[in-house]
Amino acid sequence: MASPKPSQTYDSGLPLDEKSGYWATGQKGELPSSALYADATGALGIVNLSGPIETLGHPFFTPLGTNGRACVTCHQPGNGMSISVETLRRRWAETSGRDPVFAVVDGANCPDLPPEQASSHTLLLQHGLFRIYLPWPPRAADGSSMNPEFAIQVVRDPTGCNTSTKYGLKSSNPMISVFRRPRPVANMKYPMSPFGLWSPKTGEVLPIDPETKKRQNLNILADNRQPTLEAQAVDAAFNHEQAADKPSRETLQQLVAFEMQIYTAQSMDSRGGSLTTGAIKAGPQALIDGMPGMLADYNGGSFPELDGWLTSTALSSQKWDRNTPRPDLPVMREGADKETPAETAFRDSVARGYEMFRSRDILIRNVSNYNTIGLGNPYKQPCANCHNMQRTGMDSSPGFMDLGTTNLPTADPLPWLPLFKVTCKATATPHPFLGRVIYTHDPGRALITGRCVDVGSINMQQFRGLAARAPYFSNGSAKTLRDIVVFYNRRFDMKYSERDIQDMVNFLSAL
Amino acid sequence: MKKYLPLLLLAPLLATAHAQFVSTMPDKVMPIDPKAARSFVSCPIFRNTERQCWLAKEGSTLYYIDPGTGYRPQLGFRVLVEGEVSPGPKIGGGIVLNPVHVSVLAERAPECNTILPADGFASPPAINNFGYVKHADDPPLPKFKPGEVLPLPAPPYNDLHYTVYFPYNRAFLPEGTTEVIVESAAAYIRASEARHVHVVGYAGDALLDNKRVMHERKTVAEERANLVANALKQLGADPGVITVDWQAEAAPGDGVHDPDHRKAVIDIHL
Repeated sequence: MASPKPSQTYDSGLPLDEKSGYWATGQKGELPSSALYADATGALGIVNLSGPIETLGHPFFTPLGTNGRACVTCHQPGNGMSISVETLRRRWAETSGRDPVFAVVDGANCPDLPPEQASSHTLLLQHGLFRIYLPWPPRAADGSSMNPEFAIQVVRDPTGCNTSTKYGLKSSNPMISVFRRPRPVANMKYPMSPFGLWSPKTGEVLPIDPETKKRQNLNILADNRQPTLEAQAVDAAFNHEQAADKPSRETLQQLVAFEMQIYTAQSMDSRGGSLTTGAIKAGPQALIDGMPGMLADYNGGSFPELDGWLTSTALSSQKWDRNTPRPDLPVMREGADKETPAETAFRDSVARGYEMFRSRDILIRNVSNYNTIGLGNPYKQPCANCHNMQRTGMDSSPGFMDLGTTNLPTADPLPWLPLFKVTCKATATPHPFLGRVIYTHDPGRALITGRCVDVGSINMQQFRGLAARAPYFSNGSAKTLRDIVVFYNRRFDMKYSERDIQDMVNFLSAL
Repeated sequence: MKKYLPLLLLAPLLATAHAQFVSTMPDKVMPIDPKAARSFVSCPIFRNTERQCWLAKEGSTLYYIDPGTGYRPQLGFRVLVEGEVSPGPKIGGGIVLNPVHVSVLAERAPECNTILPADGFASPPAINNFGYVKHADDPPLPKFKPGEVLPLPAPPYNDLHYTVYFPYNRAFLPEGTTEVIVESAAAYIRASEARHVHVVGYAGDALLDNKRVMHERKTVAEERANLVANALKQLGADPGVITVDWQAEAAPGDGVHDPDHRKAVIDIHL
């Protein structure tokens, strides 16, 4: 894989931005055992379970490669261990684009653009998107070239990278550039814990990690291209940090240990008050206390830490049938007599949103790698059927499915992204709902498997710390939480009222 | 496993998984009254009752065809429906086929896109066969909880076989009972330290009511055998004792027992 050398020197020694809480690389400092960071709707909590960490020399905070970046560059504690577009813009302004996060390898629209110009970084600065460059044709795990089931053409290339003679599909080292958001690196005991032995997506037994001897859950990265945190760290060192050598075993162990002990979740809401005291005990502690590998339906719901806000009064307007009987609810919350009207309104709204999420059936339809795995199309279930992993709202399975966020015609108009035409071979099983010719901004999982049915399938990500890390979806197409709900409302004809939409937004913001 | 299946659907399986334990079993077929057998290809129809309801028409006759879980119909594709007319009240306006096998055909059919309103019909009962049509000679399946790894069975051990059934033209193990069957077989192989495990794949034609014959793909029997054998190995069965074979010729259809031929059989010898 072509890994361009940095054409600009980046200042990895920029100081910690006290105002934004931005963690620069290679700094002497201490990540405390717990911290609160202000975000869009209140404050995000983060817990560093192993206790305070000296960041100087710690591999998560130290550049592993040549461009000055470290893991923390794109996985900021104050942004729910991802990075928000707001932080990126501020960092550009503060450093005149000299922070390593803007390294052209993937922080520019294409590496051959002038690094000092903001116009070279529009996808990052406007949409929070990093370039993910993948070999074409795809390569198998052993590095051998695959024979994919489809051909791919570049239809539109606003960044110029897919048609670049150096970095494009027809270059001497053919690659496809797609643009994706960094995923949160926190609460990782959940996505790393498989539920059962099988992948319902493929009907196959989950593979065993040769290192840990445990089943792999195949539930990290947008395209599940790496099976373990170790493998992901190596991939990131080479491709994001431009390392010359593979990190040492000790470094990888330190990275994985850190990632497995960092927890984050929303802890305070500016309207609803504390999320960690009173009737509910949410925030990072709920994730620390929770058991991984638990299916929400069988274990008390998706986010049981919110149950204390559910009251029969708050849910009195919700009349639909439930697959899972709901226990009797109290009329009033614990401490309701001390709530302000704003707190009451917000908490009732979150309760309604949560209850909709977990029990209001919708016709889930035309989702490849979901409706096609035996469940039926449509499948009448609530949101929580796909988002079935307790505490995170991920899919307990390998979570890749084609929701339609990247494939036309269901994707939002995204003229700033490349558009590809995928043509499936006559011998291939076509995409079940789009056939043999598919227009897509990001083929997703198909760039790894080479399978036509996987075009547009993107792995689900966790719902935690959302208020701190806009925009959303792997391609950043939802600028706000409301945009997420509006997308689903349209996609599945959910017939949400304006209040329903706001209730879902408030619920998501409390996670 | 069982990630997407509502909790209530587990109960019938747990209640019915207690067949006689036998050591050697000839192939048997599901007892179906030939006069009540139905085999046809049609667009599935979705009725939007509170709990979803799957129907299909053969001619002007509407049938209720929900197989439970395992492999449900998909709008956008035709289905091969093979089942037995069941006495009793209609469901969703359709005559009930039970047992019923539904196979989603591979070719896209965008014209299959009918969603009917509930129209006052009650939801189907929350019972189903969990994607599994019980055969009299099936070994007992253990009780299980979703996501739980099955315990190894206790002795005594005997030669035994397990059978995994597939939808028409597919070699795919949907979540549900088929997974439990393969897990049970793997656990039995491990616990009994089986000397030889022979996995054989089979295919079967479908003879439709209109006398048309549908043939499965030539390679599907091989795919089924390899799929199951690989799963057994992944589940810890000794690869050195597993052999794989398949029948080159598909069993001819009779329009009654055709689904019974689409299978992989795991023969365990001690």
